[in-house]
Amino acid sequence: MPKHPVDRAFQGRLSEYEKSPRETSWERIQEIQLPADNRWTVPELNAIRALDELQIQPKSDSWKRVQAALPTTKRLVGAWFKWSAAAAILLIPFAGWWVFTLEKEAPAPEVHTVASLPVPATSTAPSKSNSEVNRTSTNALRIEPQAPEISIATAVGSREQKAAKWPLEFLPIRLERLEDDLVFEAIPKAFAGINEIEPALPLEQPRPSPPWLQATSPWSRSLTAYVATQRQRIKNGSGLQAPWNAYSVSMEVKVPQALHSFLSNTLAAH
Amino acid sequence: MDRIERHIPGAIQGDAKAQKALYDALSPYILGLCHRYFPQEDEAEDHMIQTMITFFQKLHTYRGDAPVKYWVRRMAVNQCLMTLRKHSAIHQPFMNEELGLDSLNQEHDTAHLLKLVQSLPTGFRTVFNLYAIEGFSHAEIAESLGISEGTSKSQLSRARQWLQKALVKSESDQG
Repeated sequence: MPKHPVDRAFQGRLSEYEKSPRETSWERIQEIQLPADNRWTVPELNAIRALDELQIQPKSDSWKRVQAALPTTKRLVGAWFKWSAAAAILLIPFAGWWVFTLEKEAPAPEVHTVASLPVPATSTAPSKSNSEVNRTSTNALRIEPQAPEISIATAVGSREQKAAKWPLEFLPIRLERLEDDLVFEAIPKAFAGINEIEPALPLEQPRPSPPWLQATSPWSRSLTAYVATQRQRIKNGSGLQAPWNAYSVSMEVKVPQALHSFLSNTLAAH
Repeated sequence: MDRIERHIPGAIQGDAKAQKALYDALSPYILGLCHRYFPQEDEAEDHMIQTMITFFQKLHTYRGDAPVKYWVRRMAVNQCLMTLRKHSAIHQPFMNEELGLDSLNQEHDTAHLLKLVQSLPTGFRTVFNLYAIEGFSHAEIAESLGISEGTSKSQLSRARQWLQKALVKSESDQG
């Protein structure tokens, strides 16, 4: 309880004051008391309301300043798409021209020689330019497919047998490989004036057999056995077993009809 | 205000059009608020821009429990108070000098009222804005500005007196 009566009179209403009322001017008291009533007059209320609803248009560049500080996702995505489209428009034609140019100027494919083979006189080797870095002095062997020639051995007999003077000379059958299911191919080549039939010798290189020339099983075994025997004799240095007429070979050959007619006529003439 | 708040999802996603729509709807109101605290046009503009930037950056935290206008308004007031706290003028002692009314014209419009408020000293003007327009209590004003409640009340009282005189004078001149 304040001691001074003035202080006591204002005790309830001056509790919020920092100093006693005697130390404060009366005007100050009135000014402090005024907010306690806190009743705005009508003009004050209108002014306050007007100030509260006040709107002022910002400057034209204010939005740009705000936008510059905001990393909008769509803006970035849109910029990405825009630049990607521009790059695609510029680079795709260039890439196409570049690829097209490379294809036109593409060098010949390199040939790496895996194994060099002596080029026989009858085979043809492709001529290659010397511009490739990895080329060797030995050209790769490539044998051109030869035109099928027809040759039929009439009988494997003695060497004394002479071939008739036919307009076409047929080479004897050559052994392709030593197997049970022996596949023979008559290596055809037409010669004129050849009087001897060369004996059948195994080929160094297997050749594919046409489907119309197939060996029968029993005969193949016999010939297989013969060839095996002869090979063994060669290895042993004994030489081929002579005479050839010790063996007889029968053969069934499937030939086209035209060839069959020709052969029949030829054999009949012989 | 609903038509303004429909742009909020797009603005959160970063849609520039949605952000522009929100800016166009809110920036005039925020700039008017900033003008009540800062008489200088550039200073008020800078505070408005900073408020909008903060608004977009924190828009994803908006829960929709209050109109977005009041939400951004609170941001603007805080932005202005952050600067005003640094002003020593807000802590000036009670001023007894008579505030001149000679520069006031006869018109009693919003622009005139704005000029009246802008004519007040910084402390008076800030307390008046916070108490009369923003609805802060003296305790909140004292906490926000780092002053005592008594200082807040005295400054408000002075501002009201001056405003009353100005309004009475303008009414008498019109009459």
